Amino acid sequence: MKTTTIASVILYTMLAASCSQAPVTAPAAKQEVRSCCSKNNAPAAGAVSDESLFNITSNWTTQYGTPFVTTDLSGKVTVAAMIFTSCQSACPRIMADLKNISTSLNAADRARTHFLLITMDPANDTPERLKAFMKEHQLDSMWTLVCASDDATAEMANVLGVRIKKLSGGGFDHSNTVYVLGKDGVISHRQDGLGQDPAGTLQAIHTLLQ
Amino acid sequence: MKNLVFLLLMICALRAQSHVADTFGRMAPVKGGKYLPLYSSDSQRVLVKPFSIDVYSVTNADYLRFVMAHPEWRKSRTRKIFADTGYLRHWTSDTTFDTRLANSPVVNVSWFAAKKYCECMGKRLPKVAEWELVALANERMADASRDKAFNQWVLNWVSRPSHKVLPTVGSTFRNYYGVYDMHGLVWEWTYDFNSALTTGESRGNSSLDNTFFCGGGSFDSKDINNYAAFMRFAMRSSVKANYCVPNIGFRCVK
Repeated sequence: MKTTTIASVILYTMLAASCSQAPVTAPAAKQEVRSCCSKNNAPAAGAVSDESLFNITSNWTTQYGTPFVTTDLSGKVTVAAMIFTSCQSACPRIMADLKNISTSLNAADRARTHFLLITMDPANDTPERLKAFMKEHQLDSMWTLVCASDDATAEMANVLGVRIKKLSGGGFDHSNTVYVLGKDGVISHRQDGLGQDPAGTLQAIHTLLQ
Repeated sequence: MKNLVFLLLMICALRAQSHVADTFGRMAPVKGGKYLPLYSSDSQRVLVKPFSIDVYSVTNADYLRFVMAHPEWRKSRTRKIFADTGYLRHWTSDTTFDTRLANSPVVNVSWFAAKKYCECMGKRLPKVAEWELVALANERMADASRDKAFNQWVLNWVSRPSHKVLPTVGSTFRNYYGVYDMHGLVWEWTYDFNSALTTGESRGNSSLDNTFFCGGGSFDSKDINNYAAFMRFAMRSSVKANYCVPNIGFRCVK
């Protein structure tokens, strides 16, 4: 029993150390081994909209080291974007755009709008790093930062339609889009490009919250 | 007696199956090497580690086996977020298609479907660098990028309209690695196809826009092979992962 506990702690530490490591070492992710060939991939038909992000069943980890799956967003209105924390140029700007959205919302809407930051750099963006990033940017409890395996990250990027090119000198070229997800996990609004007027996004959030 | 008949039938069935299964899952080793991505300078060569690649594109018969084992990938059950309405549109039902297409490459499959298929085979989709490295080979050489006749042949295929009925796998040529149909049959999905960025959507002052226009510079080079490679790049940059296109299939690597 003691051995099991120790093993679990070690495994958990390994998971926390890097998100890009194969999730097979994580107790919580044990089911993911060969998940391709298990039949649990698709949620029961009819339960989730065809276009919903909730069809993604990969395992993620938050900035607190806790597990996260897309259906955790069920019933919430979420503003989502892909980032990487070591980004020197575009990400601070996309962060500024996201904060601009947050601060421009009226108080009632802001209290009910969730923000999700998905890292495109799981090799470097560990849960600890994400937590530090959260502090640097003074993000409150409405913000969830998540990382996963390379595979899950690639799948997420492709569902969102984010293009990512890893640069040889470190870092990434990538598209900059802010997504607004409805309570059903369907993308109902996109804000493409940096420094955009958030009016459309604010309106979309407001409508979805009704 | 009854047992004997049964046994004979079994043997026949096995033999028939082995004939069909001839192309299934066969792989060829690739010793790796260096690949120079489009719009890159010499210093940006990508080191490709040794890997194995499917000798043939995945066929309709192969793919049928997959959907039989994984009903969630039948066309009536696939979610739009993972495969658009064109998914397996050339199949007559969830599990049937024109039998003449059994050994032709499966097309009208999304990146998500292709990725899942490879995972279930214990394989994965090739990265762009891996795919392009194998695609450099003609019948005799690992790198035929300076072979004019070869480049012209590839270019001719690229500029022809698609076949009305897709030929079977193995109908073009066997390259240096023993791999068939890298050119001349279908386009193929790659794991990181979405790394092809052609618009100014990246960070404002990054090298991206520059590289895009600088790409024109590399065109004047010795390497007209770049032209077909450019078309593949353009194709990759124009598709989304849930698109199902009549001339895009895939093969896996390990």
